[in-house]
Amino acid sequence: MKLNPLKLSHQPLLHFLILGGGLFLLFNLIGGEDEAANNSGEQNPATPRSISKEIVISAGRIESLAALYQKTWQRPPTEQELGALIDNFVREEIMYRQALALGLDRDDPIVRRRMRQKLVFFTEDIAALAKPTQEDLEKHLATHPDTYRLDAKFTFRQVYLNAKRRGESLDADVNALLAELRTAGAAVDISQTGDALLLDQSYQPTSQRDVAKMFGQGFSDGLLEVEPGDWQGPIRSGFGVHLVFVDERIDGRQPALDEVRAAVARDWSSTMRRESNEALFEKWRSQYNITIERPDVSGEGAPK
Amino acid sequence: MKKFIPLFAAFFVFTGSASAQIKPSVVSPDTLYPGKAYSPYAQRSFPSHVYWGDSHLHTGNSLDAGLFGNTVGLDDAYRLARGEEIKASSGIPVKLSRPLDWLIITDHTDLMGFAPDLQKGAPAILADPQGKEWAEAFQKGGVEAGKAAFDLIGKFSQMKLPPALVKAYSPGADVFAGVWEDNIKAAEANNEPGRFTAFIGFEWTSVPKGFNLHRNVILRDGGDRARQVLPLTTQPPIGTTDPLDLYQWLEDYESKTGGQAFAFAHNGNLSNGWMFPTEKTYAGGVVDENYVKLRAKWEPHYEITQIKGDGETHPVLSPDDEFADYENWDVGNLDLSELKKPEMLKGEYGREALKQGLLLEKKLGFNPYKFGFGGATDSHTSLATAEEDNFFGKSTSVEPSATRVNHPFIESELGKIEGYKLVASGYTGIWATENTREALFDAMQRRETYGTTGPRMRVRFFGGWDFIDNDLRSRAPAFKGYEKGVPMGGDLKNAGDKKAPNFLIYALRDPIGANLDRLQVIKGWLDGAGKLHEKVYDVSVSDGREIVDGKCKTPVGNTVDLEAANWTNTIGAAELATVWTDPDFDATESAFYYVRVLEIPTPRWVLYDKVRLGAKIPKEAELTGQERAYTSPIWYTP
Repeated sequence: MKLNPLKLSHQPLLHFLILGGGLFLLFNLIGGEDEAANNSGEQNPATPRSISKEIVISAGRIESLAALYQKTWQRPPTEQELGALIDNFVREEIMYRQALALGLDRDDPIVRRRMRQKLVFFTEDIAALAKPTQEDLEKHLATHPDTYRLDAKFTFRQVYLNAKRRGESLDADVNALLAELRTAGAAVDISQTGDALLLDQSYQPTSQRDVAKMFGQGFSDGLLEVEPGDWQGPIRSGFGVHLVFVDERIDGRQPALDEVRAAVARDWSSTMRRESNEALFEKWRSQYNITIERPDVSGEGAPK
Repeated sequence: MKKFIPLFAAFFVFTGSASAQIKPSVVSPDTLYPGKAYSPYAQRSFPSHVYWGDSHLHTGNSLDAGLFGNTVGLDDAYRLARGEEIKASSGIPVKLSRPLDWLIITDHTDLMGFAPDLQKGAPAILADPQGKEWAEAFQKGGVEAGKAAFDLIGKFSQMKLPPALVKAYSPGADVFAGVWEDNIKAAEANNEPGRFTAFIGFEWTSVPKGFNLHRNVILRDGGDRARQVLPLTTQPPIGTTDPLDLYQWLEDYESKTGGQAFAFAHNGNLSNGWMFPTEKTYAGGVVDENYVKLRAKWEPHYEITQIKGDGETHPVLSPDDEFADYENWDVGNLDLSELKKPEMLKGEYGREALKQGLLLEKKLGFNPYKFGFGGATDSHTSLATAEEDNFFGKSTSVEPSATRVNHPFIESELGKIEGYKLVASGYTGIWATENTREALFDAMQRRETYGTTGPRMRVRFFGGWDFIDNDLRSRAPAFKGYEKGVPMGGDLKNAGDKKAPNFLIYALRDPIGANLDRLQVIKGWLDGAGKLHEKVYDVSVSDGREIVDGKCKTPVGNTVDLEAANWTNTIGAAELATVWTDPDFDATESAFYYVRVLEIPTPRWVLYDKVRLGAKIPKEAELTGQERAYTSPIWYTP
């Protein structure tokens, strides 16, 4: 792949790819282990590999073990505990190397998945280095208006009628009660009116989302249609029907970036990570020749 | 004869043209709510919202989840919980019916393993003069950024890198902290006080010999405190499988950081009797004063229902409870390396543990099993799905497919647990004053929570001595509940000259869910002779059915259409409520009471698989079930 520097602009994704490529190269260089090439899934697992029989537990390694212990237990390990940590490390290292020598890592589905997972952790960490600019965030906000739209809020009261219990008289009851309420107007005391429902009868400014959580989406949508300042309805919910009085409605609106900056930044990073991972994978895939020799085993016959 | 309040019959006040009720109240505002303002919202300090969440979810960062093929990370796990549509690992699009209010991502701490600390790498780049130049060029963008990129790659390839950068990336440097740091970062990014709470937590996966002793840990705190520690693992020499060590870790966490945390267990049903010990612990200790004291202190919550089986009770333990046989997993321990024996059940289920707790309290002075209830998924798919019609299984291998019901989920030489036995469960409802880490954590600690098998019914439960039927008729019964009694999770004391405690109980069905069949009170108590008892009382039922001596023998019916995977709310009630008095109270006996709310029968998830995917459901599979809620208990201590 040839990059034209003139076409490079401020593109975090591109930086990611560049950084990512560089870091993988770096890992190759400093990884140190010169393992037998294992680039074919078909390789014979029984082929022995030569491994170093030299184990040095460096001071740095021991400090690292002790630091790990301290961060878990909030105190340094005792002499004995440190001894156990080192013994365990040595044991693990020997068994790891013996297993490698036997080629036990090859074609092991768990090892393969783990390696894949490590690669994902790795690429995601690289992607996280990209920081959004003001422009990135503004663009993300503008292209996802629904995600960040601030809900309408309602100050409202509701009188509930139990449809099941009222049966056929429901419509008549609704109409009669609505007329009564309208006559009584805004100041009416509804504390003894209608049927019981274990939800409050009046609400301070409550977002559409919170209304939906309590009454269901249908009711919440219905409330949006109601003109404030008079008794209206009926609005249906999963519980029955409601007559409502909206005292005040604060309309939903698009927020300015500063009102939702943290959320936009989070989602921008998340999108970035997803796209970067996919782009990096596509880049790698383009470097492979993939031949699929597909036999007729799908159970649906050969593809036509 | 128990008190059964026909709530609705008492309520209808508007009849035909009668309009007498629509007028200003004649009650003086001063006496409306003693000690309260006229405005119901002023001075309303009690919890008036129930916040829904999953306290136990794994992402691809958990080793086992990753190995099952889970490729959905933290970001998407949060996005789904917040109500967005994402793609499951299997490629199927998934969305929750409604957003959750909070989430605890509890990835396994063991083998969190690898993560090169690239975050340290960024400052390392900046610390180096050459690195700083590159970074600045990137900021500028355009041609300069391109040049810098080439330069960087060139330096990489020549091994002429800033030494600080190389050191930060050296293999072996802090290999463990990466995933913990990722978890913290994702929680911090997704925690939006007032809108969505993302707790920092982890799962300590103690499972010696396949006996499930798992605990989740939840922190009340933010990243500043969480970053000061590493979560506890179970592999020696640093890790441990003994819960007493976990308590020590919690103690250390609090004293070092000044933060707060607690632990909560799950799946006693897979511990083969070791989850709730009464004499010896699996780690080789004894259940002594130290053990019960520490367990009481650090485990105020229990995950009573989840995908790997419902943990309330078992028919062997509760032979008189006709609803006890619900989604039980009783084949063996977690890996089925040891089969279940009936005598093990006593140490496995929530209700029995509550009972044994009373006995241990008498013997040792502390009740180790005084916990509140919650439900969770323990899903390893990153997807907090607990609803029957939207169930994405336990692991990526059992995300929706036509055949997932046909394969055993766990299998060993000794036995198996079939795929169709997975339980589409559950969530936790928390009564809290606001949706923040602090308010929700505090509510869990005071046990003002309840677990459900997935539906989001609203359930209130108050215990006191002076509730009257009229308290229910108030349009805001919670005022009366908090004024005259204690909420779920609380303690009743000082019976004084009162004859018996009574309880204000009400439940409203999920606004998009099934109607309710009945409310039940489950009482457990310790008699004077040191014997434990339990009894289930039906206290409110739908459709005008009769309750005789605490039992309603008439089933609510079943409207499930097995061909269409559908049901109708033509039976049951949208809400049920009552004031119930314990008819068998003895002031000298310690006791607990909790409420179980039963829905009418609805399809189990397998039926949706049949209708949507053409799955062939094994004959043995249950096709319908009565979903439920379990409130935290209220305890009475003489």
